[in-house]
Amino acid sequence: MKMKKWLILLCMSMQIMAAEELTVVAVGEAELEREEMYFNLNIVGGLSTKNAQLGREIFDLLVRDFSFYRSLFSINKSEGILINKKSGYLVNLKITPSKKGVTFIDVGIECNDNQKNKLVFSEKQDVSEGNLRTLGHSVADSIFQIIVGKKSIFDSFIVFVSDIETRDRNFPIKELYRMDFDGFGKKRLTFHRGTVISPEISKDNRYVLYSLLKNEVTKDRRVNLYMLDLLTNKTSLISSRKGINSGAVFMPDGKHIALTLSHTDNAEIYALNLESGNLRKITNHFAIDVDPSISKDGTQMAFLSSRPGEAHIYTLDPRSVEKDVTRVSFVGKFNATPRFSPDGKKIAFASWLDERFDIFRIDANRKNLVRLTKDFGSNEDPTWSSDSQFIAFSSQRVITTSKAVHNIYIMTEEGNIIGPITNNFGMSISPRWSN
Amino acid sequence: MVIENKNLLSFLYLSAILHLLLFIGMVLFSRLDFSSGSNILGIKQPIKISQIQSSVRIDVVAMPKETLMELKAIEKNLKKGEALFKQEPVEVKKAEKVQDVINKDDLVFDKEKKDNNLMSLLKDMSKKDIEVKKGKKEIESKEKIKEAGGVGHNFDGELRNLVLRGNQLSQGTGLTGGGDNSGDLTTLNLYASGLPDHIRPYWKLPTYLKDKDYKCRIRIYLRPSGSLIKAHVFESSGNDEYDQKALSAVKKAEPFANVPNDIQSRVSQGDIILGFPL
Repeated sequence: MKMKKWLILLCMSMQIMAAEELTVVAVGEAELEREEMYFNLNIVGGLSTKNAQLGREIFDLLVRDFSFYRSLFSINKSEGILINKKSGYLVNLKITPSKKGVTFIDVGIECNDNQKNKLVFSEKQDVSEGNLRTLGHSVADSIFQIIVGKKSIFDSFIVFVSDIETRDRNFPIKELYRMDFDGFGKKRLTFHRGTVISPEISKDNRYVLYSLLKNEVTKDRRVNLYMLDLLTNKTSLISSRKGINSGAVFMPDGKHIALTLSHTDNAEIYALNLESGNLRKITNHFAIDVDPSISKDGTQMAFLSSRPGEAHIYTLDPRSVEKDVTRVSFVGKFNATPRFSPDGKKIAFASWLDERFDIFRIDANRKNLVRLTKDFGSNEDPTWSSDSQFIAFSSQRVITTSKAVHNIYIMTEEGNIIGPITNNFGMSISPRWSN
Repeated sequence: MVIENKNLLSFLYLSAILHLLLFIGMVLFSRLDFSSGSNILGIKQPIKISQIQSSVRIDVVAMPKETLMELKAIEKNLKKGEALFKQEPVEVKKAEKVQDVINKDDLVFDKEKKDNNLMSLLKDMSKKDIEVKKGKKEIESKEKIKEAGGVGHNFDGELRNLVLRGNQLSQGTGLTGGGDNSGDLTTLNLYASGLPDHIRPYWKLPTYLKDKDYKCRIRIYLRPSGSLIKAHVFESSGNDEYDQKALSAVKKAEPFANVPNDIQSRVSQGDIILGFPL
């Protein structure tokens, strides 16, 4: 009888403890919710035509800045009418005469959270032609940070190389220039009368590294490495070893740079201490290794290598020599200019396909290879915005058999082309976005 | 019946005790893996959760011809019901599991000259992972799909979506149950795997939540008509706004397709959990 009890108890407990079966199904990643942005311009009477135009310029700048983030915002603009909406944000600009002088206008900027009916930003500025762009981008960035919770690209800049000075000369002049991220405010930075290649901006945005091929006939035509201080406009020679001294990038500590040197007859990537001048090998292989790009935390370096017989992208740990070498790309006839996104998650690069270069993107863990550009000329030299949301690149478009234009474009990191930011500025190439 | 053999009796006692100990051990062990369930007689009832996830390997055979934007546009059109492919019921014979690390030898370099036509490209890609079983099994497959018919779920459509994601080396989402490559396409799994397509249009997050890598799970209880009886947060992300956005997406997406007869009881008792995103 006891045995029976035991068995019955066992059966009962089995029944009680029977597992409930649930099925989980993945819905997947969410789409981004677009925020409605309403911009309203209110120009008060008594302003000169020129000053009213100044008011419109700062209004257009704000609208244009937010338009870059088309995946985040839906833009609506009006003049003179305050829109009463229950969702999104209303940015209202009130332009009045300034007490500071006739060349100034008083700009009152307010941003209202329509849903909460709460004023989230309010500022008054005396704006003139001289400070319009800086102030406008700064205000746009402040409002963006309130809404999105992180920094925008609005006060970033891009350095690039242009041959605009070559006109009417029989030798090439490619110099370094700077412009705001939206293509306005272009300014020449170097005056070498030579060919500037592969610029790179320091993490604090103060210095620019670049290589220079001088227009001089010498025994060994060296490509030397220079550094420009954007604060003092002073240039210093960093490396002038035999052969190539190029493709330099700043390492996260700011004291070292990684660069390609060929003084030992084989192109290798080295770490150079800017203070002591000490060199340390990062790559050590009989194949050609060039074009380093370092992740923000400094634990990974993407580079181009001929190890598999063709140019392919590899990564390694740049803190040592040939440490954790990993091949990233396996396809593509010729891959070039690998660039780590600032968040370290993705690598953008150019690859030769269908008789031209196009921009591709791959995750740092070698997954998700995607094409970003197509049917849009030959596209090279990608550079990421500091928030990893945009990629600037140079694009060559053939007009006739003897004429081609080379401009810098911006697209979203998904390949949505926003537009060119250079036009009629010679051959504009090698863009590098500030941090 | 009286057991007279003392040896046999003691043997049975010993066996019963051993089985009981083994059973208790299993229950305790199983609690480590299973999520919390309801309490019956003071004993916590374990819940067995199976995740619907396919194991599809899609090799990169060449640089992608289509851009990411083009692929997304095609995928969007397919969701709207554009028939790019002949509507034939297919059954996945065997899916290979994606390897996290890609070895050089795993990659196939396609040297064959192919038509650049998008349709042929997609068809070619789809052939690599799907084998259509003929004869009896095809009829069985048709019946399975018919059973889940009118559920707003298109198995072929799911495959097409996967094909469109063919340029990525990663695991796809829901096809067959178990995630162990051996699961059959049960009616419940088939029905459940159709739900995300209904919910995705409403599953939207502001940028400050999208960047945070939150995960939550919503348990749903459906009527036979596909309308929602109730839905609640089964596993919270830890962020209330995120949980509410997920819950709101489910509520906006209802009613779902009709629930097939044989799973109506299970679906109404909340046997389906939706993962946001997994």
